[in-house]
Amino acid sequence: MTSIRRFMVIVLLASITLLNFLAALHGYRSSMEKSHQLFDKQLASISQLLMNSGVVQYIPSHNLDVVVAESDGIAYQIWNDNQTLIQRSETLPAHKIVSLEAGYSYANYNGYRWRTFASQNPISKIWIVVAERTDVRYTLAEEVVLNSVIPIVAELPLIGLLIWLVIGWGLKPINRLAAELRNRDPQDLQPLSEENVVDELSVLVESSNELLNRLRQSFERERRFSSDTAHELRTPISALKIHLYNLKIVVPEDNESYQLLNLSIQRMSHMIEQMLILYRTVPEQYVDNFERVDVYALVQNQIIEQYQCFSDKEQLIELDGESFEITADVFSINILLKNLLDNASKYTPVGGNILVSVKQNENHAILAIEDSGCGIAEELYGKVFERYYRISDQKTFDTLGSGLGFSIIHHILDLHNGEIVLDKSCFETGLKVTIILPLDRKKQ
Amino acid sequence: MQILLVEDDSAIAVGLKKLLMKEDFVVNCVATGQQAINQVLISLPDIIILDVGLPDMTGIEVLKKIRGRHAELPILLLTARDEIKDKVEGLNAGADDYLTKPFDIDELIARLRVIERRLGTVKNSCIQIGAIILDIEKHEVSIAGALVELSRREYMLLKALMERAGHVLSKEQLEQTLYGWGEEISSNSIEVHIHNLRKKIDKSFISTIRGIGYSVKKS
Repeated sequence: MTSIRRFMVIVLLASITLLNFLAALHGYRSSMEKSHQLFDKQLASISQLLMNSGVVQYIPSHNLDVVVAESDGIAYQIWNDNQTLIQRSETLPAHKIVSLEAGYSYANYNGYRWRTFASQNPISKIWIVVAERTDVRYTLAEEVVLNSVIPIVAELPLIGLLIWLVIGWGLKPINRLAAELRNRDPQDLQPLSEENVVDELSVLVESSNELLNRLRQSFERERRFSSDTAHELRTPISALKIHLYNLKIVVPEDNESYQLLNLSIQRMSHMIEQMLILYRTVPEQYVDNFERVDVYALVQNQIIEQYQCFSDKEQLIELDGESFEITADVFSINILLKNLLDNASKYTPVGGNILVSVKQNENHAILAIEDSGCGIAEELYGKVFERYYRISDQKTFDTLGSGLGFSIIHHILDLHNGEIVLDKSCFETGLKVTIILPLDRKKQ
Repeated sequence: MQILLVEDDSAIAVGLKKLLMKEDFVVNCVATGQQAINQVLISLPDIIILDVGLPDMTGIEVLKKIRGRHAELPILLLTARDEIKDKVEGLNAGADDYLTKPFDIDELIARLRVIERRLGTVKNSCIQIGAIILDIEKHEVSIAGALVELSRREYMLLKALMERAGHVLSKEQLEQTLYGWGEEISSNSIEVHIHNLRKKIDKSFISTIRGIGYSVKKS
């Protein structure tokens, strides 16, 4: 069953047709029966009429024809007591078509079947046989009966149309609900509207809402759990950092265990921060706040914020470009920039170069970060976007990184309808990461 | 320099106390908001380092209660939450500064030093980077012992850069340091002052970060 409407129209129409047919059949039969009785009575009364004329034997045959002419297809024979034919209509022969016994009977003559009625005048002892062709009788009866049955059959298409319309009208609430569900954003877990819901659907809507609610709660719980866990981890990490710092006095800084401990703590700390950011920027949970913002100033501020990681590695960072505005979510763009700059610094050796440029074309802001690091092999460009993927290369092994960076970048670009392009940098070696963001969100 | 450290996590409290004492701060540790409020009544510290997540009340509540009585007392918030609204809430409630866990230890010490210098409670209020010494109390700059004549604006710029050594300061940020003195400045005045400063001190001491601003390297 593909459509309730089609199913119901077909089934209802079929049932109505069947019932109408049965009713018509029954009506036909009983009408035929009744008309049969009626015609028999007519036959008897014609016989009576002939009888009562009382002068049967004196009337020329055509005069009697006039008497019975009103009833089409009716014929007669008049016999005297000696069983001699006195008179007959042209349509009947001179011999007996039925034996002279009072009452109704059938006879076959001249290729037709006749209904006959014989009666004898008790005084003159004259027999009168009146006969009627059954086919004429049937044709007449059928005409009458069919005239009453045909309209019932003829109105079936009209009934079908009416049923189609009424069912369509009745199914409107279902269609409305279906449309509401269809037009819904897949991320939207808000309850369905319970206003104007018909009784039959209210259970469905209520249980859907309950399901949506449970889903929303479990999403929220999952998000809060991850966020809380990451937050809770910040405190022990702080403690680790502090105690490691204090250890510097007791342990020489070039101690291998100290170095590895330091690196592990940094890596763990970095990963937790990235997880927090990821949970905050995944589209399902993220409530964005788009506004007009100077992208050049954002980049400048983010470099200032992170300058220490460049100066620690004695990397030369430069910013090139112009000031212009885009429509963007400041929080996530800052995270995007932080990740890109972190990556650039991470994969660029001590004393290397990083060149950042902010330019615009007709519809897009073009943000490029080029470094003089080891770069990424072209065939790995696609892989860097996979969450948790870290390029396991000897050269990059010692650098910090959770592998979450690029997937965070990807999330944020999705949010902004932006694009990322990887290429070789303008330096001898290294990676160029180009971010393309629409200037105006509405144009997308 | 007396610090009241309000932190319920003992691993952090013990470690931080040890670390700060090594930096010649006098540290007093308490673990609850109520204890912090009581402690401030008993003996007023110079600085409070306040954790936002405390067992009995939030750090913000403690901050508001203490702020009510001591408007000038420097309070530095420590928190595991770093959403912008948390930050704004903290600063609106009257915090002087805000550090997110896990914070950089050097960053914490640097911020404490800035507060300390602002309070003027330091015996040795000098910032030394390489051969250059900036004496905040005397408003003097010397290179390898020899005094250098600087205008007040040049001095303010150099101080701002040296206080944030290792960081970069944008032209706008440097302008703000001067605006603080109610000075009218033309658009290229920062460049002019930096140019003049470079003539008076080691040329490579202040580096230009193209497109971003100026920076002084850490020693």
